[in-house]
Amino acid sequence: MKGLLTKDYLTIKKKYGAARLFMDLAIIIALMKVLEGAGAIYISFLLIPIEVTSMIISLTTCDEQWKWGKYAVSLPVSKKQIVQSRFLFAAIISLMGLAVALAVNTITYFCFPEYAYGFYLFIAFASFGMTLLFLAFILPSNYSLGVNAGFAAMIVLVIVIVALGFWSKMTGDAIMWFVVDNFELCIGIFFTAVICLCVISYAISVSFFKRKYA
Amino acid sequence: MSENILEVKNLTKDYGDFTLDGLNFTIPRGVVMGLIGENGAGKSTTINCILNEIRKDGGEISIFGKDHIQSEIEIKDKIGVVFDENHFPDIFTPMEIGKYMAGIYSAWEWPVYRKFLEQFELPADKKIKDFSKGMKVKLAFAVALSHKAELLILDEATSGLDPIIRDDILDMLINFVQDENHSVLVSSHITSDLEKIADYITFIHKGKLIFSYPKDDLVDNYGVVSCGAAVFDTMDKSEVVAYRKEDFQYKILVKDRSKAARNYPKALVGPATIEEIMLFHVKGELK
Repeated sequence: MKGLLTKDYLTIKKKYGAARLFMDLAIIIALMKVLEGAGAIYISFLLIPIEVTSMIISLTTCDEQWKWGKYAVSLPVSKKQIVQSRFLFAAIISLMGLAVALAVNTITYFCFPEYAYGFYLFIAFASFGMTLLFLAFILPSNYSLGVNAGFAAMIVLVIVIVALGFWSKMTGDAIMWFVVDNFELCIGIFFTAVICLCVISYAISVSFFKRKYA
Repeated sequence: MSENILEVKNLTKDYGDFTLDGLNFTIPRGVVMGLIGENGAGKSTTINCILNEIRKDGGEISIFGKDHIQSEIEIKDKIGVVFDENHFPDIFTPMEIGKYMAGIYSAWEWPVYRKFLEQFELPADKKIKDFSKGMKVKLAFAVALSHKAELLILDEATSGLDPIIRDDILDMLINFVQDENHSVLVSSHITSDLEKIADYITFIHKGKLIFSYPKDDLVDNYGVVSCGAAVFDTMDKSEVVAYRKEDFQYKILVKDRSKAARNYPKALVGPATIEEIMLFHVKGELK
């Protein structure tokens, strides 16, 4: 497992590298400067989930290119562990995304203090939930039909998020107000749903991977 | 310690249009076994079943005396595998590959790995995408031999390599089996390589096991009889394994060439190579 995580880490380090890190930082700073308070929303709900999921898609692309799966199955790791390690790696980079979201929202709170700090904390954790939601759909798609399916799932999810954003605007932020009015209930439902989806996603991914090598 | 490093009993795998049909063979410790057969004969399917890359439909496979599924991780920790193509990420260097392999194999040996990189003249900090095919195969061997493997499984690992690199690899395999606890299962189309190094030959044709014999028995006993129709007609067909009718003569594969030479003095009897034995079974007419 440690070796599989090391391989994924080295792949991302090689594929992304310092240049990509600086580019992401530049985009974050630009969004915060141009959009001010709203920048944190876009960074939290779009940029971070897309960046994390594109890393996972990139790993799948590399695996397919090198037919890594066939070799990995011949190594002293179970098929379940191979999938487990990818989920663990995805969880680790999602936590890194959460750290970025927390930093961005904290800076936004101090620079553009429109709402209470709790609101910004909520945005950061909602971003984490959103990232997990993206991964819960993309990972099994990758395991079932390959990297193109994962990419298609990411595009569909982005479209759904944007559509939800427009719908929210058109209804005078009805969703947001509903969330504010029923905060604890909404948070509970959202995170329970995300955890359930992640568990289902993992089980389905293991099943797809085992079927591929059966 | 089990006497046989690998035992395959009644192995079956059904793909609908192809069936691996009740294969039986064993690999004792300290030997090289060559797995031969035409393309699509079932060699890779057999290896994939052994490695549990695909699920077998029936039969038993035990490696190091243990069931290959129940003790899968423990077994694979002591197996080195080399496939016919590179599966290492080509953006990595050999050192980076060593870093993650060290986290996969419990008995990874850095000094041994470094020694192999040096011996094979593989630059430790150069990306694999800049390697030649031969260098990539040598790297795969370096990985396969750096974790105290007792069984090496090679699936067409030397195909497409030039004779010099193949010779280096064959030397390495011979060195590997100097330790009597080590064995090698090598599937290859290059039968001349197997004649050099194999102790046993297992021949699969259309998913069926044709034979699994010590190589010396094949090379010392099998023969090709060249004769005309008159001699062929008088031949005891129980001695014939397979034959091919050519323009002006028959070529007959026999199991006992000394006996054939004695019985048919008018015929020309010579030894059979492994390639000829394979060709007779695949392209010849069976008795």
